[in-house]
Amino acid sequence: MIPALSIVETDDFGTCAKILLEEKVYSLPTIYAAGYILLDRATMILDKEKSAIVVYLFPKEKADDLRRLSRDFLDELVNYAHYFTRAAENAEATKAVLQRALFSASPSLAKEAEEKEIESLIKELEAEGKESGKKGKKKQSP
Amino acid sequence: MEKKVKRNSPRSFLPFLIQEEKGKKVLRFHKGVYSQSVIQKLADEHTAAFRIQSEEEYWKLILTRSSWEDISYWYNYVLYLHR
Repeated sequence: MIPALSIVETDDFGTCAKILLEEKVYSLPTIYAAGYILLDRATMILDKEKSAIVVYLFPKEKADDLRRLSRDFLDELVNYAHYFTRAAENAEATKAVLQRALFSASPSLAKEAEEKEIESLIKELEAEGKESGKKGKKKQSP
Repeated sequence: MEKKVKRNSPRSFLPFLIQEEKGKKVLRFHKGVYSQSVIQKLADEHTAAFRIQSEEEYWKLILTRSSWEDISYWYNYVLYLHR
């Protein structure tokens, strides 16, 4: 089994941390976000090996401990994975709250949105009506 | 036809991702990790700094300058553009 974190010596660029992340566990946006946070402390090179995303971390300051840097990166990964999950789960609620805030600021927007919603509901009902009409005809035919 | 580039060994990532070809540093960005739109944006912004070529799995950047600071800058800048 490949260890998730290893320290690699290189000839030209000093020592770096190599972190293997399964794509199924951490999405690319999560990896970008975690990397973005550490841009001032590390140079980050990303690569891919089969189903794993490989992250190479090179500390910018020699005094910065590689293991600590890696742990900070892994902490940020969990932080952003959690953030994106919550953001997706709360997307509908956030949208509703924002719409309410915007509509309360401008009542004409609320009326417009209401009209659009009614129009789309009517269209949906018409489409359903046509669909059920077709099915009814099929059942009647021998 | 795009050329498929093979690694020397799984551990020799730097000779592979950062290589020297005809006296110029060559950086590779995996297509499964770095998006085409970002690489395109980078190319549009810095036409004098490098040339970009497409390989089967990688975007290949051929730099006109070659210090570690430059290499470090490009890798971090591409990551920054993905934010």
